[in-house]
Amino acid sequence: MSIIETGRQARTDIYQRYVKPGLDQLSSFKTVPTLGPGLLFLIVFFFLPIVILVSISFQAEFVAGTVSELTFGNYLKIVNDQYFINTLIRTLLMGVAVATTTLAIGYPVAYHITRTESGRRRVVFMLMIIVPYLTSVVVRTFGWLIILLENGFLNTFLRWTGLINGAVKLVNNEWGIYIGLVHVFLPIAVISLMTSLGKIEPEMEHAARDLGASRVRVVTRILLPLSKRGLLGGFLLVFALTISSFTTPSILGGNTEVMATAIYTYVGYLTNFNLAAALAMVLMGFAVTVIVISNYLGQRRMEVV
Amino acid sequence: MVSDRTVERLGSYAYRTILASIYAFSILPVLIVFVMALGPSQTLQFPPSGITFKWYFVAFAQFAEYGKPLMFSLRIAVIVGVLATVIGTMAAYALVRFRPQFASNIQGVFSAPLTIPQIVIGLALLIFFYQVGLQTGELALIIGHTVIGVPFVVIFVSVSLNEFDEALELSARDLGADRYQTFRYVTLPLIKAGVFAGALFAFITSYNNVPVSLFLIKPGQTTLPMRIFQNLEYGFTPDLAAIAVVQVLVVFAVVALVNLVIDVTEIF
Repeated sequence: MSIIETGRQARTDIYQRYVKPGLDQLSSFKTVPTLGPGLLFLIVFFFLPIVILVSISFQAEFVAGTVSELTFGNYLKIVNDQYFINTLIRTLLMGVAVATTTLAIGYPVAYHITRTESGRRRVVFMLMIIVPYLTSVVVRTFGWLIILLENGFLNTFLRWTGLINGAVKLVNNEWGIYIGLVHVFLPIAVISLMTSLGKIEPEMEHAARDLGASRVRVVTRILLPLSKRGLLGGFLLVFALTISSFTTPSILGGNTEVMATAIYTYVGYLTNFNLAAALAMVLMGFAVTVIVISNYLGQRRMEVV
Repeated sequence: MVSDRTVERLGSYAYRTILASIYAFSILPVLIVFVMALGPSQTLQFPPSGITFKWYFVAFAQFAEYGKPLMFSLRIAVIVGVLATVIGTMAAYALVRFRPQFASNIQGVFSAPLTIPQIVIGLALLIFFYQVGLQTGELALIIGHTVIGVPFVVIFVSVSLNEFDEALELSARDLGADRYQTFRYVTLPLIKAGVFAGALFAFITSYNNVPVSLFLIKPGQTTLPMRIFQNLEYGFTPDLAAIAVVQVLVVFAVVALVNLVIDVTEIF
């Protein structure tokens, strides 16, 4: 232990034993004005509205300021209606498909960025991922509309090559939602994989290569096992974000609805707040469960305390 | 027999091709909006038959359609950025430094808005405002966007606070600095990166938002992403692409500004 470390240790010890107890006594007095505003803000404008939403989902009618009889009717309506069941299944399958795809194509990118040694080149590659991430989802989805529509970029190109005569239908269906969401969440997958891949020493791969392992073997025996946690965490995160997303499915899905767009349909066009609230609860239930599992696995836990 | 060298080389080409395609996939939709806005024809032409900036003038000539929503979005995002940063930084400081009882639970409260789908938060706020009798519009939007912006500030500032030795603050206090001076001249410079990163994310989250704004705008006063979202229903036009480019460039300008103070690539 160096003398500096010893000094720092001693100082920390003194602080913990003699100073901290005194500060702690004072701290509740200081905590209220510093922590209070933020906590109060979220309790009033986040938790309270969610609680009200829960209660509305158990009521048959929505009249401001009154509570009507509690009922499971809205939930029963959802469970008994094939349309809602299909929408839910479509949403969950979309989550699995998008999470799997973003991780599969994000993996080589994350590996490439973490293994690029030149700082300037790494920034360029990072920008290719971060620029779309900072661009609003509406604009990115706008870009996909230009590419995917029947008279769009891709179909024009395919007709020009003579591969097709008519048009490949890639919007107003599941394909549009899938392509758009893979693009929206690719940066999230790359960033979460970079954290995990950055921790693997490149020397480990060099050693395996020197000992005669093929590149494929390095990937399957070293990289994948060591980044297992990153992959799992990334999967759960992208899954939760995918099932929650509204903007992209709304623009690229047309009449093909997912949970989020169904909620909006019931508020915006049908003004059935109670059913919309119940749908919101179902969606929230899935999203929160996945995030809780992810936190439990220790992926996104914040190291504050 | 194909030699191992050949296999390796083919594999390396395949790897590079795959990488190049993924990078292209990532950047293409953004680029194509820029290209669309530069082409002279009403409909999409590829390659464009020329380069023109007229669509930017066309877009801004319709001030009520695009200019006003842009100003409105900017105003809200700036207010939200400041508000979220102030209450988020204070909360993070209290959580990390004063370590109150139930600190980890309170930490959970502050990150909760990130786990709930934004469409659900928007709907919950709409119903809440309706019940307490608050009209939708500017104030409702500011509140809604702050709810989803605060978690970023708390997370980024907490990370920054954990990264430096608490003894530094203690030393300043020992040397006679009062609590304010310590915070202003010791703590704040050390957590600068976290504060700016949080402010940047709060700003961008508000400025780009659709799922919360969807419920909280009032007729006749809309945000820019909402206007683009609504107009996309009628198909794409070059002036819509031009205003989309402006929307994107504003974010990049803000990122570039923040990059003068902190290294933005460090955030990711």
